[in-house]
Amino acid sequence: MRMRKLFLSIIVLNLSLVLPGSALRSQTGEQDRRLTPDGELVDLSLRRSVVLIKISPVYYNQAMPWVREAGQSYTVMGLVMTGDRILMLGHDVRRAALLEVTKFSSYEPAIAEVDLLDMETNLALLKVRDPGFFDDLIPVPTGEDPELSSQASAIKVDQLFRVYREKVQVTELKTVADYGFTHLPVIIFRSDESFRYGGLLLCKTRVCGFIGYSDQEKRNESIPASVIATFRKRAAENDYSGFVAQGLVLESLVDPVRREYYNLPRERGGVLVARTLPGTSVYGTIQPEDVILSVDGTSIDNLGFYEDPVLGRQHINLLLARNGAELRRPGDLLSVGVWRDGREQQVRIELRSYAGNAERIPWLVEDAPNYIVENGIVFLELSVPLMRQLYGSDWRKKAIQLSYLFETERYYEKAGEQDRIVIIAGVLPDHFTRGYDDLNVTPVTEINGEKIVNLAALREKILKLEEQGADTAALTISSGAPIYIDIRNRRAINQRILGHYGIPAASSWDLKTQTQGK
Amino acid sequence: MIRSPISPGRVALMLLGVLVLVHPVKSNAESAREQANNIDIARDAVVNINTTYFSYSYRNPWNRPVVRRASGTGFIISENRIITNAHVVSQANTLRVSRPNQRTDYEARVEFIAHDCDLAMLKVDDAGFYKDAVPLEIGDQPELNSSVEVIGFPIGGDRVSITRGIVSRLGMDLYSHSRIDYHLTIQVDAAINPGNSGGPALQNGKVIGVAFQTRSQGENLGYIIPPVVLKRFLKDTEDGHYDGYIELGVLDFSTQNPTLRRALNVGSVLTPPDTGVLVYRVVPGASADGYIKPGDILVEINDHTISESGDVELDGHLHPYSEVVDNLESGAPIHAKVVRDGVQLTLNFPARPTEIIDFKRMNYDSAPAYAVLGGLVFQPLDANLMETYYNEWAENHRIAVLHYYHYFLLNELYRDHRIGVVLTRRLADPVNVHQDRYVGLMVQSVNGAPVADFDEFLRQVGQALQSEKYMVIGFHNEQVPLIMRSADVRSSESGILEKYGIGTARFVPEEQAGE
Repeated sequence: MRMRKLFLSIIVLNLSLVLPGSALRSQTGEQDRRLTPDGELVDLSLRRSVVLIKISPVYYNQAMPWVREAGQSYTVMGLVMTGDRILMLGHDVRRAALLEVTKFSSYEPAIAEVDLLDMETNLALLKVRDPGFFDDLIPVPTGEDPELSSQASAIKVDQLFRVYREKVQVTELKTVADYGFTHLPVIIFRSDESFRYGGLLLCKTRVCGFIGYSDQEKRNESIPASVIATFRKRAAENDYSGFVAQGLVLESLVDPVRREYYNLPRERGGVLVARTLPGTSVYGTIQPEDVILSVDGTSIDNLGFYEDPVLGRQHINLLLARNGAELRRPGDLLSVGVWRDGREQQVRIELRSYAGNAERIPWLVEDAPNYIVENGIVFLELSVPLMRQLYGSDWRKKAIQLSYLFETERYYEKAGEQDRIVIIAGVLPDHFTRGYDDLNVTPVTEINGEKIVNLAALREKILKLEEQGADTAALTISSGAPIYIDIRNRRAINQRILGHYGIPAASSWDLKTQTQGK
Repeated sequence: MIRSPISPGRVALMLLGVLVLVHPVKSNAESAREQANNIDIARDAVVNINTTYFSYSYRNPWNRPVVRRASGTGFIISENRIITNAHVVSQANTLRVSRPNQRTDYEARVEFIAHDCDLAMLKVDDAGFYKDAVPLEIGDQPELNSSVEVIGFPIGGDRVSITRGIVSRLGMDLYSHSRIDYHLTIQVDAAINPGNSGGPALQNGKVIGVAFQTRSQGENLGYIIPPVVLKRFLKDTEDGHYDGYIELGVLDFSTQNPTLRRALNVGSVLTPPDTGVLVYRVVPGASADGYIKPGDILVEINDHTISESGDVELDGHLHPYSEVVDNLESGAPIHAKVVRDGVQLTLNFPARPTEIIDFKRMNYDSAPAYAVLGGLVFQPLDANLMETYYNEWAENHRIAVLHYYHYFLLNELYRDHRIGVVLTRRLADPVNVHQDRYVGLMVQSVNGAPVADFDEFLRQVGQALQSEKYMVIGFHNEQVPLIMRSADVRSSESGILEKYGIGTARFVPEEQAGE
């Protein structure tokens, strides 16, 4: 889950859409099989259903969230959807400072805005400010999902909206979760060309997939038509309901001794539940050490797979995500057969989209990270992007204490409990931080004996202490050592230190107020 | 910087190398002659030590140890005692010594070995060995920038070698032989080569240090054990037994911070910079346990005032305050002055050692403990095991083990465990084909009962195998326990032992077994 490398957004595009096309056309021997321009009619209609979106990203420095860095612009493909919307990948949108859209009939960019961003599905819808922009565009004609082993055409356009096409074979369908807990089906195919800046999959004359990810081995993942259509449909509703977040962490139940221990004969199949994630569909009804025998009447085998009549062996997550070709809807009820306390029971679960309340150490930080700079100490909330920034990609073996926290404290269970881990991420050298130099990257657990549940709560507590006229406050760090910060003179101290280090505001909240005030 | 570890293959010892000395010494010929004379006498008290020793594999702990060869240096002091480094004679199987110009070598035996300060005392029963030897005297702490001569038997020849250097630095430093002990060291600017570990460093004919380690980075950074540590070792062994170092056992935080000082009202009782250190943890069983409390500000120890950053003045030099008590013998009095709730208190308590982090000290005294259960190898987590498996565990994200080892004191992990138990290997067998995923994890429970150390683990597993149908082993931070049929574990044993050439399924060294 969530381990895929998304390099799509990192690489600068510019000319690469043009170059591969011209390079390929020179390889005349391969021309037929690879990128033959389709008939004139198809070309023209498809050009009206795609746009190019130039993304100018801004990256946050996770360790110094007041520092931002403008990234290099790159261009990806988007799909024209009904209701004058454009579909694209969420991770491209979420860092964008500016989204410029061009279409086949005009090279003059229009400015787009985010209408809906769902990082659980990694999908986004854009609106365009210019009201006439969609006049000569037509919503992409979506069809059915491609069948396994079927032929399809992978299509992309260059910056002049010339269409390139490659015949490909759909090899696999599986579920993935790019960032969140929502596992959705994707279609896998290999190609000769790279589709790393997006593309679409055409089955006969209808679009059957939107290419979302392409690795260096030219293995592509395409979001199937059913997901695209459902996303558009649900986005149009008053309350966007999202998609089903399964929330299962499973263990295979192959070992005959383990089955014997659970008193469950091999022919009954079933997969062992190791953990259920808070805020997801199965949480609270399915329990750890349950064995899932069936979902909606379909038997689950001892690795967690079932036999799909069309797709063959598929993971239980797909069965929880969709019913036949139709995607299940949050709010739907589903019957799950579990083996619990030595007998089979039917459990009804209500499907849910992820409510965003399970991760104490988030995998993804969507917005600018929270921060506080207080008395010259930089407080942050622990997250995976932060650990990556501090320790690099092998943070798990470099930062032993933080990795251990990630293993043991990653999830939280109930609303109201500690939902973030606050750390001292750095100490700015100053008179008031003397003696604190060794506190880098240290979890902070308490303020004046009160548990710190997140950064906002720490800030509020400090403000409250100030209001109450407190002189100092004691902070307890993970080892149990107490450190003290000045409350009485904090404003003067903060102002001086912030000024000295060029930090625009004492916290992310103050920063927001400041920028909004301007 | 990393101190070069003394690798298990101890042949690569460390010694002070040749160095060209620029020494602001007395220039008159007489003192030079005197010095030369001293060296001649001293040279005759230096001992060449050749050993073979047992080297155990923690990866295959059931194997007989490999016998390796090592050599080092020692020197004779009064009462026919020979002093050398512990790492020269650790796990020695045979031990032979000779003095320069002796035409034969003699069998020696280890009288005392002190791994925590890398010193050992040897005796030779054959009086012929000591013939005409003038024992070396132990001198006092040398001054900075004063000259030292180091005598030994380094590589590059089999005759005695004399080198010179100056005292570059004094300080508390790691004694890498044990991996965890910090004591005073003297740094000398001599290049260091394998072979004369244990050799004397001399000044005016007196021993002012024992060569023992070097640094892998940098040049001319040699370290010698100072007289204070050597004298403490000799005193400790006077009663016929080496007790080892005591531990004060407090974790502290500096009082440099102005806000911290104000919050704790330090200024009302103390005058900066002598504001002491804030104690936040007291190690169970150590000297301070039951006397000093977390929250105390430790301001004075055995009449030495502690500065805001934890330093005391000793012989005109600043040292960490722990040096004041470091060389005390077990039972010696410690008086600590603390400020508790704004009031100064004097606390008197005896110095005592603690065993709580002994597992982090390299073990040289016994064969490794292990248990093979259904082809799964369980071993107590100690320094030796860590050294063997560290890279593998880090690579495979076996974080629970690494965290336990590194944060044992800091995060008070001793509350749950005394000694961790790790499933280190799976010896493949039909009985354990489903258990691969547990390799590298730390045991938390056996059949539901928590496990605090290896003995308890063995006891609980023994019970489970006898009276339970299943052996259920829970691991740290793993939701799903390992499950094997007790009968399978029992019946597979002889086949697995035979297949992998294992003599006995379980081994616990005797001194550990009784505890």
